[in-house]
Amino acid sequence: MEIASIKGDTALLLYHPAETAADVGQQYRIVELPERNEGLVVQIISNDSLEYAGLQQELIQHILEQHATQTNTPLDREVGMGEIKSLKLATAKIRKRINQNIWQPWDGWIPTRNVEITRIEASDLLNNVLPNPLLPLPSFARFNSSPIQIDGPRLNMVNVIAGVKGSGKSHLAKHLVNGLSSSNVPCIVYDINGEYLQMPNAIVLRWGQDFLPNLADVGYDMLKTMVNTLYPLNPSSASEAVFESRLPNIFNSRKQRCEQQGVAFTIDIAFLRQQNWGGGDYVESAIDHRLEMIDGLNLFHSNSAPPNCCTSLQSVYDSMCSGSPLVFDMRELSSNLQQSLVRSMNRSIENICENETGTNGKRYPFVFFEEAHFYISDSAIINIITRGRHIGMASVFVTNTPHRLPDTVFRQLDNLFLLALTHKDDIRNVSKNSFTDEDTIESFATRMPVHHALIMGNVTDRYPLVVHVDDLADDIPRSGETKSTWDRLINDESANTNEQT
Amino acid sequence: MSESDIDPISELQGLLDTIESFAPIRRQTSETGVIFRLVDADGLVEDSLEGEEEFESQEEQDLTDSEDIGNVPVIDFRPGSCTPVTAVDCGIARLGETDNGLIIALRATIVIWQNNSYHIDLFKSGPIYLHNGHKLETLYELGQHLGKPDFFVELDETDTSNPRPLKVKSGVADDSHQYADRFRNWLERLVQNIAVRSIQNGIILFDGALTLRTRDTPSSYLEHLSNIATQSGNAIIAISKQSLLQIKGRPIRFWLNDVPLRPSYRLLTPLMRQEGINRVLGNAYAVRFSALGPTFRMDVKAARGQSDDEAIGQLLASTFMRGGYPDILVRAHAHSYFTSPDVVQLQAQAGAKYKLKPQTDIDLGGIFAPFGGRFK
Repeated sequence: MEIASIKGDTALLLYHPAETAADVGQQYRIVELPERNEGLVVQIISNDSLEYAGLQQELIQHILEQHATQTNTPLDREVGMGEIKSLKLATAKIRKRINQNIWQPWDGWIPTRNVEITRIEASDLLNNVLPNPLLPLPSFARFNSSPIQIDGPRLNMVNVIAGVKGSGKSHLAKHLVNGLSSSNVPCIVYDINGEYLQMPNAIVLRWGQDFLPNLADVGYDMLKTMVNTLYPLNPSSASEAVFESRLPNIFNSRKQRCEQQGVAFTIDIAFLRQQNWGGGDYVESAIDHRLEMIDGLNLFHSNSAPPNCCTSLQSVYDSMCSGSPLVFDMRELSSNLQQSLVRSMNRSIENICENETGTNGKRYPFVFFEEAHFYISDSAIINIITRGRHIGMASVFVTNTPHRLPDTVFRQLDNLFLLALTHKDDIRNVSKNSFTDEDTIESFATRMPVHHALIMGNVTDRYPLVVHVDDLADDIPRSGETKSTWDRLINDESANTNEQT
Repeated sequence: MSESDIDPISELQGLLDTIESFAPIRRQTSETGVIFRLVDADGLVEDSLEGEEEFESQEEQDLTDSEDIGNVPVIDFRPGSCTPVTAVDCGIARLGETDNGLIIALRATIVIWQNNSYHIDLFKSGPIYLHNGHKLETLYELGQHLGKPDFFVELDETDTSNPRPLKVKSGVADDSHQYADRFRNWLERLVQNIAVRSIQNGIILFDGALTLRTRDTPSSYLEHLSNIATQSGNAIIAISKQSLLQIKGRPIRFWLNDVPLRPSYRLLTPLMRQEGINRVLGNAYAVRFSALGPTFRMDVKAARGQSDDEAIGQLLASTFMRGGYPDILVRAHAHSYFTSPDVVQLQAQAGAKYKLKPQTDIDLGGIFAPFGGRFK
């Protein structure tokens, strides 16, 4: 391998594939001769065939003559010829400087051409790149067959797992959920595809079935959100004004009453419907009609609710902190209900975080948002990632359309788990992170081998590391098993073939 | 010349193996320093020496005795029947020099046009290490291949059954370019020997001239080629792109200037005979194949019983012209030169094979063009 050129932070390396396999994601050490203690660490981001003078003429001549002539070579002692066609040109990004054999951030220094270029062994790279983990998560990935362990604390606060459909996002997310949960970190997953329901020890909640939040716990805001999204009152009408102003008052009055009586705060829709809202019959009737409709959905806890149903996040939080991830199965919820659920649960999470801070428990959760753009507004996402740092809530956005996430996510990003991406808008958006350049993202995202992911950020000390993601443990179901009408036909066909044989 | 030379491929392989045995080998401990030849990225390499067709008595000509060009008749083409055509070309690339020799590579090509299709035979020598310390043996063997063992060397024939080479004749390989070109010519002649048998009743096209008594080819060998060709009913026509020959003080390329834009040819042999320089196998002509084309030297050795005009007419009827030059010869040439990637690959092959250690060539730029620009 030889240096063809170095321009900016990009090195072009000429090599013969028989000599070395400069696969995308591999790193090479370029050290000055003869001392070998000054140099660079470069990472291959793409490979191209070598263009050389006369190539076009050679190809044209070859193709035309192949078509029109019969060629023999009675004497051929040019045994090495044609090897030039094998040569490849690897584009590599400079990642580190080696100074007196110590790896440092690159400061613009480049070597002469009088160098030795060798592939960096996995252990060498990992020792120099990965920070020593304070609380290592169980290993779920390998670099050149060497297992790597991610430091749990370095997953704080904002993470993105991005990749096209079928690239292994959920697979990777399950590894993270599993690793965090087994480390007793509380995890909450908003699952819109039912991918996480079978996670070991998972607490699966379905709103309206086994999760009936108590209005006293979730607060009036959730109810207000539901009325506004499902059965909105006329904007700027008297009904809307009365509902918005009276609802908090009614909640507060009830809460004070319960406190005075020395009983737990309880409130339900039946209670609200009994209240005098004011504003005249028309207004009263309009508000009651909405409350009746909401009540009919059986989404909130009432006296008639089954006794074992979950009524609040807080009630399962201890379990979540003991190795049981919480999964909200949102498959059967309409988009509006998904939005309402997530919004209210996020409020509950904020309350829990504040409570944890107050009690010095510090059991702050990781929240996994699967395709967040379906059920959270941009402003809510921005709120999550900015408020999250203050209240302790870490987030993981799992998405196949990263361009639908607000730019702020990538500007505030702490870790990126990148799988295959093809859409330019997605690549451009992901490239807005501060770890690396668009060339690297585009190159890796469009060339990512199966079962591989690019990891970079705090967990890799900003080094872009392409790793092989391990299989999931046997007790975790595989991702992406699509149901298909063709399965039965294929099965029938197979059965017929077997019968014939 | 006997029919025992019927397998030129074996001869080629044999001599190359002999030369190879003199070259340094990879297993030896010491490296051999080499200065590799530098090639422009888009350059083409063909290092054949020009001028081997020159006549020894050229300097004795009266250059002022210019013949009136109009006294020699101009002949218009009369296209004949379409026949097979075979073209031969050979190229050489000097790859580098060492302290004891020279490294070259040779390529030769036979292109056969027959039954409306092309057939191409390629001969590629790969890197050849010409060791200066073994000039005598190799040139002796070269002469044997060309049917005249004492052609390049002086022999001790005290024992006639086992003559021994004594020394290389003067002018044969005085410098490395000459030495290398002897091998190019050797390959070309051996490949021509294959080519003349490749078709029946057709035209064999050579690149160059059919000059007899040159420094590099015994006349007997050319006559031998002609005999083999004629046995198969083939005529040999040689076309020289850059002839240095002057007749009556006029370079060949001016010998059709009185008939511009007219495809035609003019017989020059009688004039050459007048000057006592008739050393051509067959007859020499000035020829222009197409209206806008240049004028070339063309030597014609027709088959037995065939006139030159018939052979020329057959050539015109049987091959396309490209810019006034036979397309089939262009094709042969295209496989016989070396592109810069070819040279680089062959240098790499030689470096690995002979354990060569490249040395920096002298950079005269600092002396003659210290601030950049060109110098000569």
